[in-house]
Amino acid sequence: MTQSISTRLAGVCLLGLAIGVSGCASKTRYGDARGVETVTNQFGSTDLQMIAESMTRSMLNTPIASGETRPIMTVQEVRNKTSEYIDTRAITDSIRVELQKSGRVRFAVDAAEMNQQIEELKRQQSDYYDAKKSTEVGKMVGAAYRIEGNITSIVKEAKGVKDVYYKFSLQLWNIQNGLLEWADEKEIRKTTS
Amino acid sequence: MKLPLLAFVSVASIAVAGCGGSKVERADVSYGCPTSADKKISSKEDLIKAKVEVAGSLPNIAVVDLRCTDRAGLLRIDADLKNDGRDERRIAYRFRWIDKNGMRATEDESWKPLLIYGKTLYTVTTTAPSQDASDFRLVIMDQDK
Repeated sequence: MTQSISTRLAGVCLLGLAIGVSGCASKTRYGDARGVETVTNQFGSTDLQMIAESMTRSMLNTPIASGETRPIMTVQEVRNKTSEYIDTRAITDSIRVELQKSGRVRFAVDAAEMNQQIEELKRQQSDYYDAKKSTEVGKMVGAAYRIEGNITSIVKEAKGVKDVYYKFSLQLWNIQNGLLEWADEKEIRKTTS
Repeated sequence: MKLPLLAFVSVASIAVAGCGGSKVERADVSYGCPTSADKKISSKEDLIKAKVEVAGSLPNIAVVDLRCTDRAGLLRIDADLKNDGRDERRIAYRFRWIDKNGMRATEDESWKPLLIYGKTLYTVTTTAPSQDASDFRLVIMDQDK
């Protein structure tokens, strides 16, 4: 009798375990990379995409980026003044890609890419290369404008509600005369309750 | 002697007719917005119907006006979205860009979340990403579900 009860109990436990395991089984699916992401209220892909798009479209409306001259720009640092880790290089990379695709501006090598550029130039000056077909040193073109900016945040939390406000600002500076040619901001508010 | 004169007059009239064509407003523009030549747009409602796509259902939210203009060779668009309901609504929108041949001009834009308070109008503004993007569709989607 006791053995029968314990056998039944073991059966119920096994059944429960099986249901539990099947319930916990993870499922992986592809999603929309451009979809609205609201998993947490931390800086996410939607914020990055919105900022890049908003800044690019705004800059394309400036007289500098609307002419036939295709001004040469360089991207400098976007300072992260928020309390969380944000890869600001990902934001500036996206802005650069969008601007480059517009066909209205060109980009010169920025400070972060300079070492690779110099290394390649030096490599081509070596004896391994045909001197007539190698790139010449001293022909690089400097940028006329530099892009820089910063991202700040204000986080408030009370009674189970967390409010995060981000402000991304970007500026376009004339390198020759130091004038600010264009500036814009993008604000984002996310609330979790 | 009359034959060369007649030939000159007919060549000149063809040339003038050819030049005059560019002065007439393009048939593929309605209310300042680009439209396909095969679609008859006789009102703003027709224009909105041709330009706005709703992904799924989106009760109480409607695009009530569209304005287009050219800014430095790029298409600039204002779209007025109205929330007819009393409660605030969360939606997402994006523009789809089309080139002059009807092909997709750029990669899909990101969906942009938007909060519209009850009984209010919100204007969505954008500029085309490049000169290739000569036509557009505005796609809106519910985010409250």
